[in-house]
Amino acid sequence: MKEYLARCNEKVKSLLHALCFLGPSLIGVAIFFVIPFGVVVYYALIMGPADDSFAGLRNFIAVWNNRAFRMAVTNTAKFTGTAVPLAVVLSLLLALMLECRIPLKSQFRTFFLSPLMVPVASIILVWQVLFHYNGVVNEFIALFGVDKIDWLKSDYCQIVVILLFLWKNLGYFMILFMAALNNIPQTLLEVADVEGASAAHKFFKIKLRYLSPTILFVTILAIINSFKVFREVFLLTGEYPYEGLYMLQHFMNNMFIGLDYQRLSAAAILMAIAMIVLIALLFAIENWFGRDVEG
Amino acid sequence: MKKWIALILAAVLLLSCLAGCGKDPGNLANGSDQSGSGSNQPGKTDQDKDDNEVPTGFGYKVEYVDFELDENITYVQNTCISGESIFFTAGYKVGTETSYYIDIDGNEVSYEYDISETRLFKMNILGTDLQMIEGYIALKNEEGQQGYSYIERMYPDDNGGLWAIEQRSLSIFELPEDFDPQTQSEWDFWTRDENSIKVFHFDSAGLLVGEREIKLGENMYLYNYMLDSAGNLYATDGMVIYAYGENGEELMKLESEEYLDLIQLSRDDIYASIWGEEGRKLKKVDLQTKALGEEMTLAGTANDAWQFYPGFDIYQFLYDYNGRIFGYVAETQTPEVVLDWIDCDINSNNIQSFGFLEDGRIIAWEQEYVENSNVPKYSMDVLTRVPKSELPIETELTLACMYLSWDLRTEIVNFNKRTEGVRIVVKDYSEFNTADDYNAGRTKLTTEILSGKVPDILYTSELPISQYGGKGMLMDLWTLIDQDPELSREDLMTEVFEAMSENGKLYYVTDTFSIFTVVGNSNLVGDEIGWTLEDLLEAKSMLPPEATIFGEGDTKAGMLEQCLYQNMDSYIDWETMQCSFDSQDFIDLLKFADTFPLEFNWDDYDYSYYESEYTRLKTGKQMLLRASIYGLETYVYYCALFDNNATFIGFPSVAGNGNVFNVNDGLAISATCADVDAAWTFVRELLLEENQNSEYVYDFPTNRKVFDKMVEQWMTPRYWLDPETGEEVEQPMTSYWLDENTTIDITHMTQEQYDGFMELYHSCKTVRGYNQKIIEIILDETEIFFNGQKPAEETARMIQSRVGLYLAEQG
Repeated sequence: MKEYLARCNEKVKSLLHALCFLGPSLIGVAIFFVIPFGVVVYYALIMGPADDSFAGLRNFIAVWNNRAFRMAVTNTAKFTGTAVPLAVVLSLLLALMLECRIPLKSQFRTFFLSPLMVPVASIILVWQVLFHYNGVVNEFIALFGVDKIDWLKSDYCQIVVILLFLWKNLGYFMILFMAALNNIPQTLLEVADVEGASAAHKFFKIKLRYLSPTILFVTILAIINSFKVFREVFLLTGEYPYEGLYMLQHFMNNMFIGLDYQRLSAAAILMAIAMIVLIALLFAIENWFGRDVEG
Repeated sequence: MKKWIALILAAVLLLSCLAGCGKDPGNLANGSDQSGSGSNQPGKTDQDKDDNEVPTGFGYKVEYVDFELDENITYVQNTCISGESIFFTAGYKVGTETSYYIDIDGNEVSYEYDISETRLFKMNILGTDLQMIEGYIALKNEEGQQGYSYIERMYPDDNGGLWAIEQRSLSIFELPEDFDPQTQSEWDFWTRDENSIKVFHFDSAGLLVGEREIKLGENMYLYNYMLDSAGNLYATDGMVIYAYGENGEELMKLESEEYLDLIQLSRDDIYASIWGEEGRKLKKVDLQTKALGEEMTLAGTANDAWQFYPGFDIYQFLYDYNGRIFGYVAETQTPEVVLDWIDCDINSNNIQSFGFLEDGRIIAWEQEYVENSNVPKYSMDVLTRVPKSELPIETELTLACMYLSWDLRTEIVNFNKRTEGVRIVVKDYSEFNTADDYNAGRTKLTTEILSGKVPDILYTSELPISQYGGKGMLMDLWTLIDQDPELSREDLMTEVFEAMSENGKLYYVTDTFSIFTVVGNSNLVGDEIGWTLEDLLEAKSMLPPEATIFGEGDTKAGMLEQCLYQNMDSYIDWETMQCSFDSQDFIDLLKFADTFPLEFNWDDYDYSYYESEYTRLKTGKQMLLRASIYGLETYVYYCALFDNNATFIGFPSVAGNGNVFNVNDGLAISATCADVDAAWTFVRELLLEENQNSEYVYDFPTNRKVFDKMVEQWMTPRYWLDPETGEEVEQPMTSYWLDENTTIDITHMTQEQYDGFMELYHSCKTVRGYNQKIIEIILDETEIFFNGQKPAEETARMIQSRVGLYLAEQG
């Protein structure tokens, strides 16, 4: 019994020691993440700023039935569904290309990384110069007799933003893939060469398997960045853009400005749930796909 | 040992998280009482504290001592508290003059009017022992002279006496012996100007003990007169600072490269105040070195203040800002509120002067204008600083505003004075605005509301009342009107409030309104109120092609914006949150706006061709007039302008009615108000007959009885008897000068005109207003269209998409 108590005492002491060291981080996380999220949940469950009575799912239903919210969800899904796979595939292709022995390899790498160093305001300025109604692109296509297109206020609007997204992110993702490619055991590839495996076979059966954690990581990163594209869209087109560019963050930003914290919070929670499900799904796929890969 | 080191390190890490929670070391060092209670220091000195916050723990007990002045004193000008006395200059009736007019029966009637001169007086601080100071004589114009003198500034001396600085300006004429003032102007015989400054020194008994005169150059006009403790006089002409010694000799002539004013923070701290791109900079005027000192700025609201007073105790100086007295704490160089007049039930608009007595009491002289009386009401308010616990406990209702109007301040003071148990406490959020962010105050209010700190009453000026109402933050005032035992909907101009209502809910009430419309000649536009764009264009086709619809300065964007102000509801169904900006009507409106010039620059306008709107209307060069009908006089005026053939047709609109109400700022009650009955008692006063009866209200009253009285007054003609013909002639209510050759007399309102006005009134169904966001979207989209690069249909489609999105969000 004494021994048991001593062991318990030791465990408590150990826990206290751990808590002392974890304390600052825990307090920080609580103050900056847990408590604000709790406040968001609270706001989503009350009637309004002047009426703090329990609203149940009223705010969630109101958000779900809101035409602007649905449009924002659709646009965001369309954009993420297009831009993220494109970003993953293109950056992987670029990484594979730079893995080959090609001239000006270093220059290419720098070229693809350079958008990371350009401030957002400058990027916006360049895109405005390019895609404005009186911009360079329209001037250029006019040379071929094509009528002017209002790129940011037409059905082409998402293409403009996808181009911007890819231009800005491909370099970074490419570097991540290059690092992952370097970590693939060379012995396996040599064995495959000895056994006469084709390049495609090596890619799909060995490289892709070993790249799967990086693919997952890049995909998550791309999804997060696809949500962040609001910043560029907002600077390009303001609070109320053409319908095709209206993203979830537009909805939330405008709810914030419009003092509608209830719907803002409800939308944030719905979005968080969707993100959790999506990322869990990605983890499940990655687990299944890379299940027989060591490490 | 390792464990202990680990524990200490962990503790240090944890404590570091609390590093930001400590008090300012400076405050701990100076030992000031944070709560304020038990301290002789008036207010807190913590640097972190918002300088707009009134120190808690203390309040003021106020004794109001009413007093009367000599009946010959007509108006008080300058005042100065010195010791136990108040010195003041005032107009003093020295005689009367007689004039004549002919009455309705043709008799010559004489009437007298007062002749006043400026005099200096002295009385006890409680308004007793009034004494005229004989030693001061204002400038009197001799024959061949014309001029004035004015006491610009007064200072107390250390013995209860007074220093007074007087400015004199005199024009000298050499009039011929046969000068006839009826046919000649003395300015034709002007020879020179004489400008001077006189400094008088009186002792505590009011005896003149010193006097000096400083002669100024003929074209030298100085201002900002100041006196330091040594008796040296400072003044400026904006570019040069002058200082004169005790004998009137020039001590300094300091030239500046920048335009400046002088301000006096304390008796010997005179600064040049220079405005630049980054706000106000101060440079101390140094008489010793005859130069300006280092550039400095004052903290907080002090840098925007103009009225400074000598400091006391911990305060380097005091200053007046937005109805409050702030003290500038010498040690921390930060301002803090010493006194908020409104909290003491004193109307800062009425304060003639105030001062601090040696025992710490504050004395304030109030002069309140009494309507329909020549004699103001005077009172001396004695404020004694006491712990708040000694003051009566009252329910406090917070009134949030972005600006406190003169009338509202008066209303609040009067309400607080006569109501026991409840008081309105004002929080003016405009004080949180900064030079970088003019909306900082509004943002702060909104943030506070969202965090649950909702004020009880809101003054609607500059506040997004619709937005607050839509979020359920405001009470529906119809319910309070309906429950009110003395006030009902029938007592009000209900149509105005119905137009102000949103989804049947009235979020605020106001005391006045006007009507915004468009007037045209009935022969041209027809005699029915309301029309469509098509009707307008059809009517215009009857005028010469060069005729304009309105004045000459209208632009494409401006015209579109104006049409939308009156017509937004034609394109938006606020109940279903659907819009129809892609409709043919809106496309037509875009095309209509496109017929106006893209830009108009009055700077390039050739004024030699300028014609008044009246002339342009008469000659068919202009079709319509925009009109704001803010009184029956303006309605009758527009009728007269069109020779009683006017149609108040309104802006063209889809629904055929473009007349709207324009309502003034009002009061709203929050849904979380602590005491709705008390708040309503205050807010309803806006609507009462007695409060809308003032002769100084220019718009239409929202109280029906007051409106009816106004109608009755305007429908009753006034006559006078023409002495030449012996006939009774209607006396015009007022006259308007239209152009070089035309003046129109406005007489009483006829029954026909009254009916016409009521028809106009009833045609208004909405309140003039605009949704900034929608207007922004529309103007953004039309820019390319107005430049001729996009068709109207495409522009309308884009507007429909973007505004539709905005509305969908609100739904």
